[in-house]
Amino acid sequence: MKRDQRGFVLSGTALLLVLPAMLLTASCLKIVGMGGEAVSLQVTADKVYYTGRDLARVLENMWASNILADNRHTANARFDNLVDNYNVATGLLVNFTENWKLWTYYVQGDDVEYVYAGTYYCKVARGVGDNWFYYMDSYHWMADWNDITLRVQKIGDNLLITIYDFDPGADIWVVQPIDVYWGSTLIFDDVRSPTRGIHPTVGDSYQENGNITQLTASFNIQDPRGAARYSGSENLG
Amino acid sequence: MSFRENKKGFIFSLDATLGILVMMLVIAGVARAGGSELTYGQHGYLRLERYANDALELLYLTGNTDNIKFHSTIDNIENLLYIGQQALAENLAENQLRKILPNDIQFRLRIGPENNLRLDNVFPSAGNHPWWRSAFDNVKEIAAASRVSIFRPDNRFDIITLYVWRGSAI
Repeated sequence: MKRDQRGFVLSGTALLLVLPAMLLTASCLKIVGMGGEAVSLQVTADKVYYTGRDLARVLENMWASNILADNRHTANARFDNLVDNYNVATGLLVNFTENWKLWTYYVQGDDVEYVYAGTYYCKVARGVGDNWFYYMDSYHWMADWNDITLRVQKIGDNLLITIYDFDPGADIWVVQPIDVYWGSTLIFDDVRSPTRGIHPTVGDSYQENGNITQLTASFNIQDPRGAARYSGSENLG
Repeated sequence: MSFRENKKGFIFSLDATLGILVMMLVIAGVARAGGSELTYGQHGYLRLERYANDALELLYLTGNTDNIKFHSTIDNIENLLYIGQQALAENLAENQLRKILPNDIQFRLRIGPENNLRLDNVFPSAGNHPWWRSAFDNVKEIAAASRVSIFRPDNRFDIITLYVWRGSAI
């Protein structure tokens, strides 16, 4: 370096002073960015949380108002309608699973028919007090919803399930015994008309003890990015 | 550069300059992070959104009992709509929301879809709806909260939406 050339000499000490300045600047920018992201996440989480709470409340109201037990078939369609409303109102992804405990089953040759409560082949109606009637169109040949009628009574925390009626009616030519299940438990094996001896028939009952309900509705709510999620379930009836 | 004895002044070394630069950066960073603009940008909207959600939630939690059953404010509004008392439903919603929300927070409550509203024109003060509608249309920042409810007589689901924004009352 000649005498007439001028400039700065970046000494070791000066370099050490520049480094923290750069680090501080980068940290400040990062902090600001993270702060904004955290708030955005909180807003999303709030929306998911309140939607979950609201959905649980609406499900309880639906059961209390007998909307699911109004003697019309395909009660599960109300859930689809409800989920559509939440999708439109919130923009969140709502997954819903309903699990009715009662279902029936019969086999005739290769023909196997399952009838689940909440579907087209079942009507649920609320009786007086804590009584619900499940009208099953088990045979599917005639849409009459009266092949087998099951009554569910809530007695304290227990449920008493009774074969209230068995009337194949116009389906008499396909009559095969019907099995009735409560969840995974076979509660009436080979239900037949009263003249069939040892098989369960009208008037027979089965009691499910404990804190049991007729329907479990499970739901999962999340924002489209999957950043916030709320899962819950409601035991109804 | 030469310094003669009769010349006076400060010597500003490069180290000192860089030191001051670091200090200025720190001060500027702290001032920005603590500034009202950034604080509002980060938390102002969050507060607004929570005002909306909490206020709507309170409509479900407050109400009255008739010795048999609890009737929330939303239940009462729905019942008034069911019997065709729109004006009473509007008044009830306005009064309750005015009590819940601070004065600098304005609101609009809407029940039902845009093309088939069950209840609209619920603003912080009765009347002056065109003014409020204009304020609602022109406000820059709005937070909204939504709930779904069941409405009689056809047991249809409809959406209840509460919009809130910062602004002055009439």
